[in-house]
Amino acid sequence: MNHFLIGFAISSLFRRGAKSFFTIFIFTSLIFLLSSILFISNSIKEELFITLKSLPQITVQKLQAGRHTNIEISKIDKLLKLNGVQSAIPRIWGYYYFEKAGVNFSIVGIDSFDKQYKKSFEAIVKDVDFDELYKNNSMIVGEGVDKVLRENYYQGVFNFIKPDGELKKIKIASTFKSATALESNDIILMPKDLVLEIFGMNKNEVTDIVLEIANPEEIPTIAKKIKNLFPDSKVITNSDLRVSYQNIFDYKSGMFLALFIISAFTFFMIVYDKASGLSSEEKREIGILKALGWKIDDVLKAKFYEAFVVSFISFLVGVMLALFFVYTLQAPLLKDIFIGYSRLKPVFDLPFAFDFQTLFLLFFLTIPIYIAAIIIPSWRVASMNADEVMR
Amino acid sequence: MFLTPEIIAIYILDIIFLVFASFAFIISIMIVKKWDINSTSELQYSLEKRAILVATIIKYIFILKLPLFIFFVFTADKISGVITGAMCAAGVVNSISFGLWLFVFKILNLFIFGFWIALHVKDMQDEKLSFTKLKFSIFIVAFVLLVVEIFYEISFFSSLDVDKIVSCCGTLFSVASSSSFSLIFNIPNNVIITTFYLIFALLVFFSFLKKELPFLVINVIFFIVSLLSLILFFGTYIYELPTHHCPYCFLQREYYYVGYLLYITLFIGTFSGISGSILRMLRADYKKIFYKTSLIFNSLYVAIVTAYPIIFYIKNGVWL
Amino acid sequence: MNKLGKYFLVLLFVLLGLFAIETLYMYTTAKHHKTIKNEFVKIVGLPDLAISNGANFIRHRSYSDTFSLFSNGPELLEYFPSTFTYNFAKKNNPARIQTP
Repeated sequence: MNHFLIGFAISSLFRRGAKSFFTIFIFTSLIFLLSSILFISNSIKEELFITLKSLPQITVQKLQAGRHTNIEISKIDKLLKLNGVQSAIPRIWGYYYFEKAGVNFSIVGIDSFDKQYKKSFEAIVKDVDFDELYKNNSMIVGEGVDKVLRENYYQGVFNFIKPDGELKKIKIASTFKSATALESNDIILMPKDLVLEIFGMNKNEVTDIVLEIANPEEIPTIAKKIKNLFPDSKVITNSDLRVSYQNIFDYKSGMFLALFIISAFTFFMIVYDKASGLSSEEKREIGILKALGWKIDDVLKAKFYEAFVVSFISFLVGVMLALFFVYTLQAPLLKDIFIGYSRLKPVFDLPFAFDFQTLFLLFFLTIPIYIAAIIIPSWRVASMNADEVMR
Repeated sequence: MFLTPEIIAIYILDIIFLVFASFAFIISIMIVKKWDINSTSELQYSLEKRAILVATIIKYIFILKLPLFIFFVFTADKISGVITGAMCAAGVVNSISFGLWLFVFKILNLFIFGFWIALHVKDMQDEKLSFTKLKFSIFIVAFVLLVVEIFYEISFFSSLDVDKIVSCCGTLFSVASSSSFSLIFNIPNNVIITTFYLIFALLVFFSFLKKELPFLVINVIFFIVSLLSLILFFGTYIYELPTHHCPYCFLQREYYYVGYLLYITLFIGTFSGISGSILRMLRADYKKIFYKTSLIFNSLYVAIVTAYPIIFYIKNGVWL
Repeated sequence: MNKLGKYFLVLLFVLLGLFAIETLYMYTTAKHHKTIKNEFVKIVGLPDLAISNGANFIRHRSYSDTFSLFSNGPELLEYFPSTFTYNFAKKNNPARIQTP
């Protein structure tokens, strides 16, 4: 390390102020864009993984002709007979399409508002009157559902249209706390028999069955056994969900990256071009340096220090701006890439998720490309003959 | 095949390496064929300039390859969450038949490129540039190895299969398995530990004696024996589990990333020993500092791995 | 080192310091609501986030199968491929349990 060379590199950057500024600006914006996307995808993934362990260990669904259909309630007894299965709970849930607003609600049924839920309800539902819930048939809705219903003049009550065309009027008791917006935005929670009525389902059929396994190590074996027992079933284990989570966001940020490669390559071309197109002044500068006795290596080193300064400053500033943009401003515009088309957009805060791996990844995706772009032009500049350029 | 950001990053870098290394390869062939330091022709002059370009490219590749190796292990660790049955990088690496070879090539290339740079630095200090032909011949071999590595790496990531169940470290690194690793489990513990410390003692001895050839040989042996003893014996103390022999798991957070420290010290220690000895054999005026560097880092490595069993013994009063 | 070089070093440290302070600040003030969210998921028991619910087959996409995108209401046009990148497994083996 020669600190005179670093000093020289920095002053030569300043001498070409506009040019360096332009490079730093473009590089910073590229890094900013890339890190914002990765940060958003990271924190959404983090959000998913926070709740992963609370999800059912095994879900058994029935497929008929390749489609999901309702499963017979009688299968529970057979499932319970499998060794290691602690409990099997039938679930009823599904989607309700609210035509007027063009949105899908997810309706989830629970075993009536029982006393056992009281404690957890107090944690997740806004000022709930539990006894009131218990007595009247009413539902708890997500904030998004509540908003959509209000927009359509349903205040505190909603008419579901049953399959036979009749209306079913259900009271809205309360909404979920906004901390759970990402999970609860489109969810409607109500007693099971009401869900059955709204969906027009058969009494001895359920949507799927959830199993609890005493020993998590046994999950794959039990899943295999269920598959043998009911070949028409689709068995989803907790680890499948984890894989699904991981895949979807890797895929999304991967898609973005595939696009990013193009812009990175364009940037590469710009830097390459800028580094090889020398003004006569710069040529003279190199000529004088070489006449003063600088070796090719010295000129190259100075060029690399320049590149290091440019890329390091851009990297730090880009990542810092991205952190601010994503976690303080909540990533306006860019967040929509991950949210998709929906009229039921949740209002949510991206949880802070930041690790060294992402920093590493950002580093590898940006700085080596920049350095690679300047290697050959700098070498060409450095290896010019003194007499040739000073002429 | 996956399309995770990490893999895309590795692909991009691999392609950049490949393009630049091919440039360097072509120039190297020209240099090996036509280099003549006494000539004053135009050709020799341009070759001298190009030699600098090649050196720059190789430095670039090596400097990136070091952190990239760690990043590769990081990535394999992350993918292990998606591949059924894999708990750490071991499962991912071994889910592909040539996964282990990829690793071997990666380490080998790190050594070769590192040595190349050490040789280059030495060469630049010599006004006759007497190693130039040698170093470019070495690069021609290194290029082939690099291409093999990159080819392996790309086919490695593209043939990873989410649907396949792999066996992970628990079964791979155990006596009962039929993998190629199980052979080494026939070595009894006391033999490997005695060999390990014996070799280390020899290493210390030779480093004070300052003889290059034995020091070189002992460093190579020390590297291999260290890895074996780490898998067979010291690893179990890091995990505090007599059956867990994985050389990757201690790279994870649960073990405070101690693996990176271990591998880095071991690499610096043996690398400086090996490359220093070779360089000194080539030229007698090479500085003897490398004996010290090698000794310090190797001793550091030995100190860390030794600390684990001892601390375990002090805490629990028994050996595993 | 010349004056500019020193300025640069100062700038570098300032940037690094700012970076550290920013991450630390965000780390300490981050709210994850872990318990509430887990409590909620335990009751509802459904995976995935409510961020994409334009069609029902992408709301709980970990549960949905490839066919479900055809089972929509008649007035819901099929906009699936353009709005949601979806990576389904090659072999649609839900439990991913198979003998090698």
